[in-house]
Amino acid sequence: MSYPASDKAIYEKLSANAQIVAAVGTVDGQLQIYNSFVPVEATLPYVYFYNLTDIPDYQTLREAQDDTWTVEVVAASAADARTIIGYVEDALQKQTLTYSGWSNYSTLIMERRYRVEVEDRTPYYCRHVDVQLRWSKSSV
Amino acid sequence: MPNVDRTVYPNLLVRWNGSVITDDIMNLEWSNKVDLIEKSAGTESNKTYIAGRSDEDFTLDFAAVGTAVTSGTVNVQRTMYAGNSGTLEWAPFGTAEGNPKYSIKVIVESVTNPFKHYALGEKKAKLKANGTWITNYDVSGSTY
Repeated sequence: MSYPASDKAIYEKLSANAQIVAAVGTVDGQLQIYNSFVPVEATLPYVYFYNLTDIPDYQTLREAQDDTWTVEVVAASAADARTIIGYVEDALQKQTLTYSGWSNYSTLIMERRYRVEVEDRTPYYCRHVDVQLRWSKSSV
Repeated sequence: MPNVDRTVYPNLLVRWNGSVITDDIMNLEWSNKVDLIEKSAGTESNKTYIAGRSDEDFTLDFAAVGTAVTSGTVNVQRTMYAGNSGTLEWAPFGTAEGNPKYSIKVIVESVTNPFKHYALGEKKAKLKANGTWITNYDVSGSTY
């Protein structure tokens, strides 16, 4: 049983965006675009993404799936968060992502949110987008 | 309480002009009907009827596909237009030996082609039977 690895596809798109790469940099040799888990060594700003839901679509026999992933920017200033989430949107909104054997026929930002978290009196400015990726299998 | 089986149709197969088009079909609906001819007369208190000519209507809903298509899907995307004729065949439970088989010549009455920016394209074709049955499991027990 195969299904599209939306996380791989998202990472590929985000890491190909020079503005995101320049903004987040690397820590211990790892680009600060984190898949589902942020290590304690991460420094601000960074991008991370995680799965909300992956829903199989049974309308046709051809396999199809609607995946929603949250991509979040955590930064030390509101301005940085806003700028970097703009790069994230440029990288994903209405783009065509790739994963072998599957066709990504729609990629849309479905929600944008902003919040500030405070830890030890330090504010963390977080902006995130929910991205819906719709896939159909290239062959039945 | 009698034990009654229900069913879904995961093995449905549909052919249009000989090509399998099932991959992108969302719904096939078959309306089987006849003209009712009233034959009541005289002092009968309730109407009675005989069955006149039969008529079959079909609704075929299918997902629109992009430019890279398989041959079966090209067949339904390109040749399903109003006024065109073809042969529709369907196997509700698949084509394993002994399964019910239905096929009939049809004419395409209409096709609705909605174009929406970001919603899945769904086309709806209305077909009408155009002649007698080729195979019909219900009437003559036709199987694969």
